[in-house]
Amino acid sequence: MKRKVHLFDVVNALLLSGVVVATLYPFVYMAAVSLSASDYVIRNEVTIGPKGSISTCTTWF
Amino acid sequence: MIKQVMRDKYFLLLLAPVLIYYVIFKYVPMFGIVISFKNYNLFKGIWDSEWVGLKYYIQFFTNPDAFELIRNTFLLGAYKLLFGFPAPIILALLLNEVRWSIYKRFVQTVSYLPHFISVVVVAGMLTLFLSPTIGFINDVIKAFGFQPINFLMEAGWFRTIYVASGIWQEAGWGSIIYLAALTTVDPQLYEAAEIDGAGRWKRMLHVTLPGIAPAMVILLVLNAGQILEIGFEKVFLLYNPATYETADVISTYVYRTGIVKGNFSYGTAVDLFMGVISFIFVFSANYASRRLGETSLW
Amino acid sequence: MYHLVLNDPRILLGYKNTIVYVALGTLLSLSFTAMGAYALARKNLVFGKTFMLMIVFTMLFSGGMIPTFLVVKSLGLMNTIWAMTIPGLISTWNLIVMRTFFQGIPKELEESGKMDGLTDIGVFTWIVLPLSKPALSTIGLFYAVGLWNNFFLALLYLRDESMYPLQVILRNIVMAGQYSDAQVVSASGDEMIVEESLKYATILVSTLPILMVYPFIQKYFVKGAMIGSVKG
Repeated sequence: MKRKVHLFDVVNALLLSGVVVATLYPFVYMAAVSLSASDYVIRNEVTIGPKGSISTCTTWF
Repeated sequence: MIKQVMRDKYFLLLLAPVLIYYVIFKYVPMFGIVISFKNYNLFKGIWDSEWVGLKYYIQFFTNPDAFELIRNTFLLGAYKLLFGFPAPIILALLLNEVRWSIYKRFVQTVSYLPHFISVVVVAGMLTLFLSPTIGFINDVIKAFGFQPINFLMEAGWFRTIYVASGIWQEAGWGSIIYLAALTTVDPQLYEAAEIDGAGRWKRMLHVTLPGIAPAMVILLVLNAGQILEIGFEKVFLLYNPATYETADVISTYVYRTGIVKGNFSYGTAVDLFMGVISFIFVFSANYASRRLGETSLW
Repeated sequence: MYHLVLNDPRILLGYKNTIVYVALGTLLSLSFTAMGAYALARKNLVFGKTFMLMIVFTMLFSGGMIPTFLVVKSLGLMNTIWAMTIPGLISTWNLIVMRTFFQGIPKELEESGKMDGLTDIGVFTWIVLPLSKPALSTIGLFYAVGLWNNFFLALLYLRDESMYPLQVILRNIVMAGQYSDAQVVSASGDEMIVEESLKYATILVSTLPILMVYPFIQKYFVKGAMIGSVKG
C-alpha cells in the first residue's frame, strides 16, 4: 500500500535528525577543534570541519 | 540430599567460582557493616575495635549537612525520573512512525552510541563544552550578547546538567525496550483503526500507546524504586566544593569522609542508613510490579 | 596535536594498562559467568533456588563502599591487576541474561551428549558453548566495555600511578589539567598549543576504539538488551 507523505513525516524526520545531530555533534566538534591549527581555535572559528589542519597532521610522523 | 549433590556435582563445580565471588565480595561486606557500630581502627581490626553503639548514626543526624545530603540524593533521583523517564518513550514513539526503515535503523544506531561512552569522557566533554572561557556553549551565549555562565561552578545549574547529560547518554538505549514492546503490537489493530477512519494521532493514542503501556508501567515502577541509586562516578567527576549544596550526595560524602579521610565507621553508618532506605524503595517497587502481574527483578 | 597526545608516556601507559585489564577481566568474567549461568539454568539443580535468591538479593542490598573496600584491602588486592578485575568479576545482570539464554537450549541436545558418554562438564564445553557463541560475544562485549570505561575501581583500589588505566589518566589530563613535560616544552616553543585542542585530542584518542568498533558490534548489544528486557 502506497501512502502519501504527510507533513508529520517531514516534521518527524527533522526531529529525529535533531537527535542524530545532538548525539554526534560533540564528537564532530572535538575532532574539528583537535585537528585545526591553533589560530583558528583561539578565534573560535571552528564549528564543523577542521581549519588549517594540514600543518598539524603532517607533524604526526 | 547427598544423592542430589552427587548427581549435580559437576554443576556445583561450575557454579563454585560464582558462589565464592558472591560470598567474598557481597556477603562478607554485608557483615562488615558491624564496623558502623564499632570504633573501627585499621590496626586493631574488626574484632578488637570497641563497640560504640549508635554513636556514628547520631553523629550523622546531628550533622547540619545530613539534611542537605539526603535532599540532594532524593532530588537528583526525582528529577532524573521526571525528565529521564519520558525521553525514551517519546523517542520510541517517533521512531515507530518512521516508515523509511533504513533511516529508522540509522537513527537508532546513532542514538545508542552515547550509552557506551565512559562517564569520564562525558564529564570531560561537559567540563570543556560548558567552560566559560573555551566552551562552545558559552561562545553561543556570548554571540547573543549575554554574559558567559560558569555552569559547573554554579550550584543552581548542577541538577540540570546532570539530568540533561543523562538523557543525552541514555534515552536512545532506553528506547530499545519500548521498540521491542512495539514489535508485539498486532498490525491488524492498525489496519482496523485505519478502516475506522482513525488518523495518525488517534492511532498513536489508541493503538501504539496501549501497546507499550505495560512496559511503561513496569519501568516507571522499577525506576521509581531506584530513585536513590545515584551513580557515584558522574557526580564525583562533575561536582566541586562550589556546588556541594546541590551536588553532594550520600555516595560522594561517604567516599570523602570514609575512604579519603579514613572515618571508616562513620562512612559505613551513613552508607547503611541510605542503603536501608533504598532497599525499602526497590523492594516495594518490585513487589508492586509483581502485583501488576508482569515482571520484576527476581 | 595528536603527535603530542600519542607521544605522551602517560597515555601510552594508560592504553597498555587498560588493554591488559580488559583482556584479563573479560576472560575471567565471561568464563565464570558462563559456567555459573549454565549451572543455574539447570531446572532441578540442588539448592538452585537458594543460590538464585542469594545472588538476586545482592541487587537489592549491598554492604556498601567502605566494607567492600576493606575486604579488597585485606585480601591484598590493592594496587594489583586483580583490583581491576576481581571486585567486579560477576555482573548479576549479565549472569541472569546468560542464564535465560542457556534455559532456551533444547534439552535433547544435552541428553544426546550424555548418551555419547560425556560428563556434564563435557556437555557444557563441547555442546553448549559452541551453540552459545552469539550470547557469549554479547556478554563478553558488555564486560569489555564496562572494563574499558571503568573509573570507580581504579579510583578506589589503585594508588600507584604506573597502574592507572586510561580513564584515570584521561580525567587527570582533561579535568585536572595535568600536562606532560613534552607538552609544556612545545607550548613554550614556536608552535602554540591550545589547551582545548589538546584536551579534545586526548578525549578522542581514548574513545576512538569504542567509536570505531561500535557500528560493527552494536547489534550484539541490542540483542543482549532485548534478552535482558524480556526477563530482566
